[in-house]
Amino acid sequence: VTPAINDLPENFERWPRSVQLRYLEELHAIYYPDTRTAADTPPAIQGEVID
Amino acid sequence: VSEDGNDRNDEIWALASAGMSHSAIAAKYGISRARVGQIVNARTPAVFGFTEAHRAAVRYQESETLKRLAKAAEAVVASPPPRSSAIGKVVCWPDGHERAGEIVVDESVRVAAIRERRLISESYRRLTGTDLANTDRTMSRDEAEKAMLAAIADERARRDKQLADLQALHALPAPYIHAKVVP
Repeated sequence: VTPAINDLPENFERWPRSVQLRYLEELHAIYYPDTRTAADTPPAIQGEVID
Repeated sequence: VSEDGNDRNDEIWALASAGMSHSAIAAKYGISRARVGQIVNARTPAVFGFTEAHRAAVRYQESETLKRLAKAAEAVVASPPPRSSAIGKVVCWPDGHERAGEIVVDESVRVAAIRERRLISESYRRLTGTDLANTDRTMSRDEAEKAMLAAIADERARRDKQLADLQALHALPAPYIHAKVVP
């Protein structure tokens, strides 16, 4: 089973950076659940978030 | 770049280039890790050799130059030079003309100055990015999150369908398939 990494969702480039990163994280979690460790889901960044 | 934080930012940059991790620096100064990255990036030349500060300085210099040039071009448009004859004499309108005795203005120079003025405007717009169709193409967070969740749901459905297809293949009797399905 392979992820469709060649076709990112429509308007992906217009999403805020944090949403893009979360999408990629979720994608990784769907296709490679066994390779993920606790380090892959870091705690939310405190303070300002730069998009 | 904030005026009061310059010394601190220089220290941060020095620590980061000495190899201290961004999270350690963030903890030391009580700011976010992302902010440390921002400060370090603003002081680090990109591959092509310019930092954001350099670029801002170049933008400022260039815009001042363009303003000066624009004034010069406008002065020529307002009062173009007189036309000279082949032997260098100033040409006047002949007798009988409605402007008889007045100096003939060199209109080709005026047209050239107008064209230059237009090019200066174009350069200025390009420099400041005002020609770009839409300066902020970033979606709103809510809209983007909705689209992201929908895309994730699609992706899950796609994965499930692929898995089901593989398992159906696996259910066939040998020798059609020997591979074990690994989700």
